[in-house]
Amino acid sequence: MLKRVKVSAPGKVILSGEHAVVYGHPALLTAVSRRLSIARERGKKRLIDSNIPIGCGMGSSAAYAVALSALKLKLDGKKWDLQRINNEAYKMEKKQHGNPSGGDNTVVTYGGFLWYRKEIESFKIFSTVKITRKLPEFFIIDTGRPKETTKEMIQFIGEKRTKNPRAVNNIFREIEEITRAFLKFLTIGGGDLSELIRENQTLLEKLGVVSNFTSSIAKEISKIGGAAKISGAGGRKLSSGILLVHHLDTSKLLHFAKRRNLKIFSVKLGEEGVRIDRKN
Amino acid sequence: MADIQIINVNVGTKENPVVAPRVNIGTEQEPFFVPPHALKPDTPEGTEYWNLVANGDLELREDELGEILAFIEDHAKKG
Repeated sequence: MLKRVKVSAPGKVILSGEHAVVYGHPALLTAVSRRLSIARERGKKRLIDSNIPIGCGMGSSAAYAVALSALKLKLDGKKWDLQRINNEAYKMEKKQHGNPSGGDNTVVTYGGFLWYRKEIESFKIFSTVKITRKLPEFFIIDTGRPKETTKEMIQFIGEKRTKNPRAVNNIFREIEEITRAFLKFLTIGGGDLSELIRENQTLLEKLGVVSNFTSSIAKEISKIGGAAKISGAGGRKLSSGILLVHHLDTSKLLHFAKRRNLKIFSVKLGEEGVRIDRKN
Repeated sequence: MADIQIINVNVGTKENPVVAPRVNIGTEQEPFFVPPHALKPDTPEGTEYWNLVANGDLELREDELGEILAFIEDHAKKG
């Protein structure tokens, strides 16, 4: 039996499709190079270390569930089996939260990119996305904790959709088109990544889930040649959670973030899934 | 939410039971179980739950989503 094992699992972000996915539209998820690790020495307590931000939709819960099930598998001396790790993590998520789609634990287990869509209650599509191009470095800017709870954001969209179904459903359809365009960009190429991100952000602003403050940051990033969109539920007052940012001139972006006193860190999209970091 | 009753429910299968704390926000005849933290959206666990909903990682039918929201609102009014 192993004396010491350390496993780690990545966080994830939603590249496109937040909110719309609740109403049956597709979402594109990606594992990111922020990881949670769990180490265990026989007879000792588990040591957890993570640089995945908590509470902003970056998959810290799924990373924990996946890493823990991987650790158990290794400590039990069983063969490394991603499907088994994924299934166990799914069960943990189910116990914790209710009825997970399985998207988060799947992208965290296998890494890379994942397309998800709930067609009807009993039928959903999961598809790992094989990318054909190397992606540039991305950045996350933390605009801060939204004043509203995420539940209030979801409620806001639900009420808006009840009052004006046509307008909101149209925005969801446009978001779906962007999500498809992202998929096309990743798989067969074509399209302008910066433009896709900007269009996605514009639609999320139209939906009303972006604060004026966050919107102004995204616009300033566009002005200096980059592109940014919120990733996750967003926020209407002051902050909107995290912004996913793309800029080919990293120094320009970092200079901008410093000038505006914004927290920024780089992330690789399509990160490797759960892995063993150390065993002996 | 002091008056909510938390019970242990099998969220696994008969053959492979997994017991978890849940609140029944439905009726006795038509139960609808949710984890307690879903009803506390301003806590870290609640934030996590609602982030999963927004990102599509929790499957809720529209009527179920409406039910949870109504339950939280009802209880907020009752104080």
